[in-house]
Amino acid sequence: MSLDAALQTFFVEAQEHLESMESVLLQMDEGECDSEMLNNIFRSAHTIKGSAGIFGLNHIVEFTHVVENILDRARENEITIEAKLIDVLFKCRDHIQALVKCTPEEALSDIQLKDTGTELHALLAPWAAEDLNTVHEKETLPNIENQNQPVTLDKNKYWHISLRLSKDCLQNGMDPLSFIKFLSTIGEIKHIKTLADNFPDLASFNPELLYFAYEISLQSEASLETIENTFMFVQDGSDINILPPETELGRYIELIEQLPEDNQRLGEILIDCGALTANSLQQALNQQSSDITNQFDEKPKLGEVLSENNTVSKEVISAALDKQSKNPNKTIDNTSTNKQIRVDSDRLDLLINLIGELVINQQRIDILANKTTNTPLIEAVGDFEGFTEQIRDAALSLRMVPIGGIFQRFKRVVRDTAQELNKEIELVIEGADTELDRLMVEKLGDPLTHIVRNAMDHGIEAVDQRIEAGKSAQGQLKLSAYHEAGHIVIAISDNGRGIDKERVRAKAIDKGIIHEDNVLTDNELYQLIFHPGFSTAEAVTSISGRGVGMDVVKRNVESLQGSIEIDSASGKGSTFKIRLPLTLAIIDGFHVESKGTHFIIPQATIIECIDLVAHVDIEGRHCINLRGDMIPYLAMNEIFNLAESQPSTALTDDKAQQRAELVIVQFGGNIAGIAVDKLNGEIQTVVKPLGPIFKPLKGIGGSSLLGSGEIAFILDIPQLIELAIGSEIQINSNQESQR
Amino acid sequence: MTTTEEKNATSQSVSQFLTFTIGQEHFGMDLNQTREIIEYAGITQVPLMPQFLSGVINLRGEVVPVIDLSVRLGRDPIKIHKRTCVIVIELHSFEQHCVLGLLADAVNEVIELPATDIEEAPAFGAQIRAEFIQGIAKADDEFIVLLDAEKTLSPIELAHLVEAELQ
Repeated sequence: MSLDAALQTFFVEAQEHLESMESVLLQMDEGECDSEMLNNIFRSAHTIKGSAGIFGLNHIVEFTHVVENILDRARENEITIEAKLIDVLFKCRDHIQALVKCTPEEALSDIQLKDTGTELHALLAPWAAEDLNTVHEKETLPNIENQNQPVTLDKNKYWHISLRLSKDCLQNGMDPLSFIKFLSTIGEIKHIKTLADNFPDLASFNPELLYFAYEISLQSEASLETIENTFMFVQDGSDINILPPETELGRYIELIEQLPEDNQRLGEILIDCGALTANSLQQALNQQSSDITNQFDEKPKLGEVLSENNTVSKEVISAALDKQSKNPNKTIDNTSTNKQIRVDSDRLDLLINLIGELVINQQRIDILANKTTNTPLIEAVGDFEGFTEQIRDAALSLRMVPIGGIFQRFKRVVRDTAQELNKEIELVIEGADTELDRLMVEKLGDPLTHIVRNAMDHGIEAVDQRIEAGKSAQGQLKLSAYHEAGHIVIAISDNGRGIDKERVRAKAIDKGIIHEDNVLTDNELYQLIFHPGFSTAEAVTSISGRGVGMDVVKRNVESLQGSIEIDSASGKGSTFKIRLPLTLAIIDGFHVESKGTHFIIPQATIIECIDLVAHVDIEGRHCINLRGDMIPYLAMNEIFNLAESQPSTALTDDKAQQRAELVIVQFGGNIAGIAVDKLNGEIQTVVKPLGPIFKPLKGIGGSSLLGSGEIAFILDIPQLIELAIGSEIQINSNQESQR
Repeated sequence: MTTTEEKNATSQSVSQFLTFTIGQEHFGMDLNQTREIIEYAGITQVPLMPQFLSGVINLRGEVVPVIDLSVRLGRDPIKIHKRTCVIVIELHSFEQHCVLGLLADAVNEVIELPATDIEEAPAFGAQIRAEFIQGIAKADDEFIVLLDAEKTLSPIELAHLVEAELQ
């Protein structure tokens, strides 16, 4: 792991801790508060500070230290969590986040950031100063010159740390010196001894390897966890022993036994460090070597040795045993709550790509097998197909994450925005465990934030207006997610005033987006909100921006092959529905052909397939009467200008023309037909992006390989439907203007 | 940064070029940018594309666009015959690496050229946009136009051309 990679880990973990701090703070904000929550939030702050120290990110350590102290006091019940403190802690959390995001240099040069830090420290002061003597006060106040925690000298606590770092730790970008430096920020190093015993002769010396070992005597009030955490990044392959102050002799003996260096010499070093006295060590070693002949289990024996010697009291031993048994438990707890493995997303993508290839190859084998009359082979291939599908689904599910993570973020957004707007808004979350592709989750954050803020700013009324309208004072914003017809729907609904259709219309006419004579359906009217430069808010506020947001929202959603719809009732509220495909990598498709060119229609969009018989052309636009409804359709050969003379259909061209098939597709409430020559059936297909060159090509979303090795184009149904319906609007308005 | 450094480094020493023929003309391309040469085995046309974009091929599971360099350089479209081949090149100077195929009448050889043998592109008279040309070399009494693949086949510019065609 290079230093960069380690730093990256730090950022990821810091972000996770910040998120967990936020969720705890939100819970506290709702009035819950127990020791577990306090411990959690303290631990988060503490870990951020500790890890930041390792990387020498002093600006983070400096600020977080103060916050940590406050949290520690809360944990010790010295102060109570009150609303005002929660507010300040929220701000502190945000500040830590800001600090984590910038480099130390930026943090130093950014005066605003620095001011915020000092301001927040001042805000925290009332909780820090209360009930404290002067020594403690000094400890909790920001100490910019020096972050060394003042140590109270009276207790005389000495930790013994025995460091045998892995040889390659230098290669991994870890400098042992930085750990030792960090130790000096959590305590005072009383004695340090460097062992060069492992140093090889010059011929075999490798300057990139670490040959030194360290014995450190540390005076600190920090917990075992803190000291352990110091070495978090070098744990692998290293032998790190941390003995708490006043540890019984036996542990030292054990340590001496464990370590590779000569026992007697180590003993001397420990004496040097003041961990042991020469006398007690000699006694214990002698006693033990004589006992070895008795061939007992070693660990209890050591205890016996010690108690016989009266070097330590039995009490201490049992206490130490307790401690020992507690510590492993603790680590098990930690690992069981964190059952996840971090995998580089690139590796995951590679796996999914490979499985895509597997799916294609499986289809090829399927075609080949079906050409033979070898029944066992066909059966075997059938089984193979089943497993391939399972592997595909399992692999895809690796990329799926619950949407709850992103919903959770909005608790904070809603809380803050509601405060800012002086409105009372409750956030309700439904279907938080609905899963969708991680790639999509990442890209959904911004559009959702925009819609949520818009709903709070324009949708939900101020308290007095709500009461006037006979509604409850508290407005409600609901985020929900659910599956519908192969898509995931994310709905953002509010119980506010709803969208004023007349105002939208007037505004659109005013801005020249539509013509005064245009007759629009409600849906078309609402879609105008997504038009670039459209904003209905009479007063532009900082919350919902300047009307440049909603068109970006729509674009973002469309880039994920999704669509967005609005439903609204005046006085009752509005709902924004975002529809997204389940995944972007592999889709179930329907294979069709037109003039020898292969196309794939995403299965989820298909309603039915019919024979194209009696069609009507209205103003050069194709329509068909489907059980009483006039439905527009697009002929693939026309819109893609496909040549008549493609070899595979050239002979039967006339017949094919007569027997054209129509696939009825729907997307986001709109229905249209797609006319093709031939239906080839269902197919599982891997989406291969066509690359930047083909980006301007509308109607084709990607490509895919068929079992035969040929290339098919995946139709972008939303774009095609827009084309079918969009042309309709245009023609309508032309007609009207002609009149 | 690195690419210019590399270019500087190579220009002082010897560079390798893959030479190929389109019509009667000889071209060369930096060997570092070429990945492989494959036989022409059909191509899938992409609807509505301009003439220089011949289509896409299935290169062992990868869908690769194929460019008719002849059209791109302002000449008549290449005529497909049995020796036609596709030179697969890789461009790295974009956010993601970009793989493209080029149609050529014949691929000739790999030549080594010392920097001193490469002359700058003539300001006029080349019948090819000057920025496409990295240099001119002379080998066996024939001129070889060394193409700058990054400029000739810039995906951004190609996408603009596609967009223009669609409108």
